[in-house]
Amino acid sequence: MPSKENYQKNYKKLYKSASVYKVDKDKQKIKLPMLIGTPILLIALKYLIIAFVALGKGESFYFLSSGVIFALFIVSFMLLRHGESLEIIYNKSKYAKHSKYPYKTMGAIALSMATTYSAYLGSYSWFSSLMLGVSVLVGWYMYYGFDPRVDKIDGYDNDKSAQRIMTLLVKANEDIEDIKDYAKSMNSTSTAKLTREMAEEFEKIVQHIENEPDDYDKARKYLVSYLGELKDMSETFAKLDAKDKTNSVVLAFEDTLTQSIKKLKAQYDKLLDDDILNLDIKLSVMKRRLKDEE
Amino acid sequence: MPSWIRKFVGFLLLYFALIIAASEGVGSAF
Repeated sequence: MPSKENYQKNYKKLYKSASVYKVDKDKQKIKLPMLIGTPILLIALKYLIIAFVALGKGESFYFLSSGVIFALFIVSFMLLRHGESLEIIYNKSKYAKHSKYPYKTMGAIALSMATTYSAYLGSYSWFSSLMLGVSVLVGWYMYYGFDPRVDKIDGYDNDKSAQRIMTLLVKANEDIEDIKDYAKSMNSTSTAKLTREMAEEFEKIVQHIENEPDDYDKARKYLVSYLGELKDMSETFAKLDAKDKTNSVVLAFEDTLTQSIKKLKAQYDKLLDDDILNLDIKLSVMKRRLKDEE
Repeated sequence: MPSWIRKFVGFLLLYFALIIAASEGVGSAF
């Protein structure tokens, strides 16, 4: 069983390489079907055998060539698995940036090159070899597909708004994670508890924006300036906490935290209230329309 | 085209090409 810490480390690694902004919490664990790409591995085995046979016969050129082809197959297999798992995250996320590199496409090109080279060394003309390579590319595209190349956010087709909202959300999520880390390193339990509580309040607002990106403008102030400042404060406090500190600093910090939590709760309620108000307006408009129809 | 047909055709195209190149490619050259 992988430990939680290991898992988080892996997740962070993946998160960076995929440039995926956030994955639904319950879907974080990616289960890639074991069989994906295994036929490629089986065919690669054939080249390994050929390489050994060539070695046995003293054919160094063919030994090297089949070795290179074998390596290309393995690279392609790994790229396919990596690309597929990133795509699963992408598909399951409410919002995600496309992966930095087109892993699956690179895998397809490697496999196609290996096939063309192998066929050319065999009895095929360069044209037939090229055709085999092309059919590998086309077949790959139809069966595995290429990588998603656009950023997505559910309900937003406009790239620019999606980009703006995602940038805010990813920054907010990172800041919240940082605040939680600082809370862990604090000695005083009451301050740590308040800090965590504050982070959770911010989280609620972030989740609200994820579900209703239209409220982005209303929550922007909180997620940009307040979150940033509170993060800096928590960091400074965590550092002070490691050394000696006076009680008055603790009290002042706890007071700020309590006030922030109160303010954040009010802001979250306001966001919800606005939704209720919107629904109220829609209902009364509908009522009037229905009345006019009579 | 339904996606399963596309996948099926893609699978055949990809793996036939790979198998042909593997069985009649570099291995048959020496």
